[in-house]
Amino acid sequence: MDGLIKMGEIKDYPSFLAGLIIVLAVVLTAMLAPLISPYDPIEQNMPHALQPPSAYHLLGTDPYGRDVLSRIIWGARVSLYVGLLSATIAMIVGVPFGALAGQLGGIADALLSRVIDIMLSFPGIILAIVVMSILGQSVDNTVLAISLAMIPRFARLARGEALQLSVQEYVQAAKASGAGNLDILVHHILPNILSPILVQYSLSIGSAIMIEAGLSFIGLGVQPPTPSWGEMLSLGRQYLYTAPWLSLFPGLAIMLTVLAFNLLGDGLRDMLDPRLKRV
Amino acid sequence: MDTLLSVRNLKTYFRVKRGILRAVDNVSFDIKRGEVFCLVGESGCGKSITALSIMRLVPYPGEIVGGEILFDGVDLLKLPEEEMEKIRGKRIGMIFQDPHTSLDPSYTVGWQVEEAILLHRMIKKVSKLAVNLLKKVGIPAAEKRYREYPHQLSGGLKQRAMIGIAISNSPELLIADEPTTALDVTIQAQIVDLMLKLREENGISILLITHDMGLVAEACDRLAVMYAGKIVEKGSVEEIFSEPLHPYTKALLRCVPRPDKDVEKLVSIPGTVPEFPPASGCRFADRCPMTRKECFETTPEEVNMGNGHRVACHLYG
Repeated sequence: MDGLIKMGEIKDYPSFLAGLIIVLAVVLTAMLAPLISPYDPIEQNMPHALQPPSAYHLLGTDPYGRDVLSRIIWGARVSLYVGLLSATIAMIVGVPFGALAGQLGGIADALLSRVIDIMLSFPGIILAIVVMSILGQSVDNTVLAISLAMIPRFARLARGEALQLSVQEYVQAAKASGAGNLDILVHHILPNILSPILVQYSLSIGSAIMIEAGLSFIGLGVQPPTPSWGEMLSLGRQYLYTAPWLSLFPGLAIMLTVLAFNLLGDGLRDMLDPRLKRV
Repeated sequence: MDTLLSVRNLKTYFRVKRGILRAVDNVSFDIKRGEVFCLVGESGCGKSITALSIMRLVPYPGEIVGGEILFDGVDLLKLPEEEMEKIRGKRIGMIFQDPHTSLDPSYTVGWQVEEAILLHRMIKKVSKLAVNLLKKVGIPAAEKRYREYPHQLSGGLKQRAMIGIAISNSPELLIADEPTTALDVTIQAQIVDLMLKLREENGISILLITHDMGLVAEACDRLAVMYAGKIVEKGSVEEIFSEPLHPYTKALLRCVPRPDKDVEKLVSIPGTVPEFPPASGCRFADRCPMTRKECFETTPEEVNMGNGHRVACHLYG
C-alpha cells in the first residue's frame, strides 16, 4: 500500500489534517503526562477543593482538591489505551472472520451472520456491562469487554463488503488467473474493503473512548483514584451548578478526541479510495 | 489437428427456490489446437455458464452435476481444487465481458499483470516481463501505462491489459466471454484482430463466446449454436453460414442487419428463452415456426449431416 498516501497530498484534506493534529496532540499529551501535568493527579489537597479555574489551577480543582487539568492529562492515557487497544483487537478479530464469511458464502456465511446478529442485538454498553460484572473491574477487562462488544460491527461490515466484492468481475478474473481463496482474501478483498474498515476503525476508537467513559461514569470501568474522563464526569455531575468546570472540561476532552478520530477516519477514506483520488 | 479440449455431456444445474434450472444440459463439443471455436446464442442460453464450468468457477448455487471436461486428455472435473488452480491462468486463460470491472481498482495495471505471472512462476525481473506483455497486446506507452490505475485507462486499453493478463503464462486455451460487448465498434475490431494475431503467433486455441454473428463470421473456424442450455447445431463456419439447418440458427442469421439490403424493420425472434424448459420435447418448440407434433413430445437427438455438421432437430431426424 506504499505510496498511496503522499505527504504533499495531506494539505488537500483539511478535515483529515485537523483530526490528525488533534489526535497527535492527545497522543503527545498522554505520552508526556508525567512531564507536562502541573500537579499530581491523585494526591488530595482538601484546602484547595472546588476552586474555579485560576492561574494556579488552569481548569480548577475537584472536591478533593485535585487539579482538573492534571487529571485530564493523565486521563488521556486511559482513554487512548482503552480506545486504541479495544478497537484494534475488535478489528483484527472481526475483519478476517467477516471477510472470509462474505467471500465463501454458503453455510459458513449463514452461521457467522447469525452469530453476528445475536451479538449485535445487545447494545454495546450493555454487553460491556455484563462482561465487566462477570470478569471484574480493571483496565484490561474494560478493553476486553469493549472489544467483544465491537467485534460484530467489524465482522458485519467486512462481511457485507466482501460479499459485494466476491461477485465482482475482478475477483472472478483473479480466480481465473489461478488465485486461491487466501490470495483473493489478502490481495483483492482486504485491500478493497480497507477504506470502510479504516473509517470504522477510527469511529470505533472514538466510540470505545465513549463506552469507556460511560462504564467509568457508572462506576464499572476504571476505578478511582486512577484518573479517567468518564469517572471525572461522574464526579462532576453532583456539582453541575456549583462547579461546572468539573464536567465541562472532561466532557470537552471526550468530545474533541472522539471528533478528532471521526475526522481522521473520514479523511482517510477520501485519501485511500482511488475513485476519489484527484488525478 | 488434435483435440485440446473436449466437453462431453456437460450438465450444470442451478438449484433455485422454484426448482432446478438446467443452465447447461448435455452439452458436448471439441476444440482443436490452434482453432477459434465460437459458442453462439442469445442472452441467458448458458454460454457463459459453459465457459465458467470449464474453469470450474460456476457461481453458487450452480453446480456441475455431470459430464466430462477433457483438457489435453485430463478430466478437469476430477482434479482436486489445488491442481485446478494450477491450470487456471497457466494453461487456460480467461477474459471477461466488461473490462471496466475486470481489473481491481486498487492496484496498478502493472501490478495485476505481475500478480498473474507470479501466481504460477517465480521470476525475479517480473516487471520487465509485464511491460513486454503490455507492449505485446498493443498498449501504447506501455512503461507509463504499467504504473497507472485501471480508472486511468480507456475500455479498449483495459481489455488489452486483460488479454495481457490472460496470456501472461502462455496458456494453450483462451476463453473469451463476450470480450467486445462492452466496447464500441471500432475498438471491437481491434480487440478481435489482437486475439487472432495471438492465435497466429502462439498457436493458442480460443473459445469465443458471443451473440454477434458478424464476429463469428469474421473470427471463427467452427461454432456451436446454443439455445436454452443445449447445443442445437454445430459445424464449420462455412457450413453453417451457407446452409443453416436448425430453425433457431436460421432465425439468428436472419436477425443480422444487412447493410446491402433496404430494411424497414429489424428482424427479431418472437418470445424469450424459457427459464424452466419442459423436461421432454424441443426447447425451441414454443418459438419455432416449423413445429410438428413430436417437437413437443420427444427431445431431438443430434444428427450428423456430414462434414462434422450436426444438428438437433426433428426436421432432420
